[in-house]
Amino acid sequence: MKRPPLTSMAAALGFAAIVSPAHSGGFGPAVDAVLPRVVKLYGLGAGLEAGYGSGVILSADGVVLTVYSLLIDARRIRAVTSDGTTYSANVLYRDYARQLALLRLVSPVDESEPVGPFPFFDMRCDGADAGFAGLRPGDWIVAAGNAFKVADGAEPVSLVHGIFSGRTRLDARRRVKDFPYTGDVLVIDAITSNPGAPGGALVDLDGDFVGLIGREVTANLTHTHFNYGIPHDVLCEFMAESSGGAEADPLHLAGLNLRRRTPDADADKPFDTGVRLTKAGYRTVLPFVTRVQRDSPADRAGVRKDDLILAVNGKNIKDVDEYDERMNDRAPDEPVILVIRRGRRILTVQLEKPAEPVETANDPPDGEG
Amino acid sequence: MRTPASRNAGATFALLILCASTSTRADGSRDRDLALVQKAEERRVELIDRVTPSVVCIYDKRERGGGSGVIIEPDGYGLTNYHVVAGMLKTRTGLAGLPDGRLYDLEVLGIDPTGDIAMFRLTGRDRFPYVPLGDSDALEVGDPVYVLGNPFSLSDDYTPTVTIGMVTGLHRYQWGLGNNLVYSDCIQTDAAINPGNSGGPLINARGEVVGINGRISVNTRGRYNVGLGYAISANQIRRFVPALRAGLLAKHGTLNATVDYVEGTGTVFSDTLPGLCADRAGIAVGDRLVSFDRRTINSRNEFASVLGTYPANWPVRLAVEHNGVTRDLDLRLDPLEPNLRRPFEVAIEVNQREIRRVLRRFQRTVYGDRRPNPPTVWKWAVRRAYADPGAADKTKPPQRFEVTLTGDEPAVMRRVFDDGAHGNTIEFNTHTAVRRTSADGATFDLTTDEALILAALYTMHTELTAPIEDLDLARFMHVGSDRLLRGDGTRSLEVLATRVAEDGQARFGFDTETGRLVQAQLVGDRSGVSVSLRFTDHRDVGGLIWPATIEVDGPGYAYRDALSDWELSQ
Repeated sequence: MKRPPLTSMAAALGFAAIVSPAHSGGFGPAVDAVLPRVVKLYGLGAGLEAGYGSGVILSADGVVLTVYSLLIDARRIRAVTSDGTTYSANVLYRDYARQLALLRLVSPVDESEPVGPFPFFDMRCDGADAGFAGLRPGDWIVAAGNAFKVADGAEPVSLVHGIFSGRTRLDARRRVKDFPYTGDVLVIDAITSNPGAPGGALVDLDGDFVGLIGREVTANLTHTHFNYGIPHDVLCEFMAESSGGAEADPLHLAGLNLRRRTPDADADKPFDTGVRLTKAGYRTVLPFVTRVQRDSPADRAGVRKDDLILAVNGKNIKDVDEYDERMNDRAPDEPVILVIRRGRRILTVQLEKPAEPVETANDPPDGEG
Repeated sequence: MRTPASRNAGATFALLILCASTSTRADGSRDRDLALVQKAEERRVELIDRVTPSVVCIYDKRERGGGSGVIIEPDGYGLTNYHVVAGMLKTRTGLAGLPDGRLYDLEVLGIDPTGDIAMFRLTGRDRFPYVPLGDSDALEVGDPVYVLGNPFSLSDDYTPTVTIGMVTGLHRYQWGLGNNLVYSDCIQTDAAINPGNSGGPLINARGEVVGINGRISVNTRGRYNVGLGYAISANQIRRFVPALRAGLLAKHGTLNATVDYVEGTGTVFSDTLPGLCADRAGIAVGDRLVSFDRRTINSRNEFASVLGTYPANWPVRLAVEHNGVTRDLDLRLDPLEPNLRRPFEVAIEVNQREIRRVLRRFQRTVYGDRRPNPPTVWKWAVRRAYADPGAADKTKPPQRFEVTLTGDEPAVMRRVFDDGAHGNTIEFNTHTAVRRTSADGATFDLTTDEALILAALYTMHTELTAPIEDLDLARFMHVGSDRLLRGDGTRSLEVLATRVAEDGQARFGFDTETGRLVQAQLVGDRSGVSVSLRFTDHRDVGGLIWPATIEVDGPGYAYRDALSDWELSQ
């Protein structure tokens, strides 16, 4: 990419959070560094799990770091580098606890054929490299990942820019389940919580790799989607474990750690309350109960046809969409408290999970590595 | 509006941050940093102040809805999304709130449903604030951009919301709904775009419109910004502006063919519809598309993206490889039909307004500031040079031709060979060709192409140059844009079509930038004969600025007439 040389102004503004570097030409080094080092990944998808994602190249011979997800359980993972070339990717190592995985790019035709050299981020894990530790709240960051798989072939992945807000421990869930990673994260104000972006790179203004875009999660504190990166030092720990003295034999590692099961499947949904509402067309529809399943939790709690639902678990709702949203966004066992209007009376009812056993998904295995 | 106090507060904030981060540096550089930060901030504030007055809040006549728009010309012409005005097409009227706090009447002009663009005109003021279109091809990923508009209909006083971001992707392709709302080769930004921003401008660091925002990627959690917004590029829009100004249903071009990306080979034609564009040009299934209009094609996405930016009927050059041999194909794109609930009829008065404007500009290039006053007698002689001197009937090039056009007498064309003997004489009357008399007195009917050429020249000399108030505008139709058939292909034209001869159509192309007449495409409706004329070498000819050279491409021949003598009289 051709780009005019940086002015002294841009360099100076690297320190000043008040003026966006985009408005002084200062994002050039970050953009130029990150785009060739992020790959698009395509693998297994199911339900709400996107079958696509991103990865970061960490070595000239094609070691790629990405997030742990259903995607890498595909029989064949396809990786497309920034020049549009397609590779296969083999899983070298995966870490459920950190929600990270390591892949290696290979030729789709012949795995023994050497590939590369690729442009890569040098992790520089050993040595007290101040470049990464020096990230301070308020510093600019650029996040690069193939959000919504907007980019195809040789097209560069999508970017978002923002600032690094601070470092904290993650307390989050994915839909209804607790998120296994509870370590430190880099909190950013750029929106990265989009399908396809996780596994992409977070770089600072100099284009140094400071973190990996984390998986889409909802923060337990705020109940909002949370934008964060897995910090460089956590990635280094993961890398150290993944090599574990067996660096020379990546296939051995792959054999050790390969797992076919998908702990993250959508099997455990919230229980069915038995309340049925009708929605037609695009118009706002008031949440009147149109039917109650016999012997359902709602039936047992005394919910009747034509009741108007005013609130779910303490939150007011105004239409069927909001009702659906609230109902889908609860833990599997969480009881449902409805405030309903029947005629001129306001009632509160509690719907409990039925006692009979329900099908459950397999519990995730212990973290590996 | 911003006060000095708030400016100072900003400066103080900047100072604090700089103090914190430059504590290890010398005082001198800190002062310099501060000055630079203040300067950058002032520039940003100035740019937003400059652009804001031209940003429009768009509502329908009952003040419902809520989209955005931007005025791009001082006479109140502006751009928005097609999907913003789609509900106003029955009356083609709406309301536009400007940051001066007033509501203006809005007239919907042309629409481009495929490219999700519509043009409007505001009335109620002599002169409107405006922001010119910029060059979207000059954008690079990482460049700063500003989004202005009315997200969530927040604005009560019609002042726009400003969001700031950078270019986060270029040449993106976003599928549409059928043939509508296709975002081709579009600009991606992380500046927040939300419902209501649709139709508003994407502004570059120079304060120009580089795109029209109209689409976002949305997550399952709702229809609002998640960091990926898309704008239709100004350079695509510019190609459609003549049609949009003229109140037309602007259509995009199609090859009526599909391609597949074959790894290791490239983009390969996988299907061509018989008798249509690609097929007509001789493209076969399996041929490789090397480049489209000089742009190398590396994926299916890129093919769709590049193609989607061209208007129907535009000439493009394709490089196509067939059996290992690459050749250039020049073709005109087929029209892609948008999906419309009801037919979109051209509003005649909108169209005629544009005809007048194009002719007025053209006549200014001919007469300067003088009142249009075409000579009643045009008499000129040309030296003719054939591109292929060996062809039949062109035995002694160069030849000399004399043509006399008068207001009410037949035009006469006389061919003079080098030996001085008179050749054929063509007599020609108004819009219909009459007859040709050879030197020995025998008469023939004119060939269709001869008649078309003479008729077009006749129209050019007697009508296009006449005072506009004397013209029968119903004889003309503004049919949108085109571009020069030769040259670098970057000059776009505005086209006025009219009937010529008994059975033909002439499409006069005027350079969008200069207003000059530079091209005419002539087609015989029944015969299918097609001739193209290129007008070059514009210079002073008897007091008028007039093309001194005409290059003619006819069926099986090509020649160039260079003016050698002329006589113009009233």
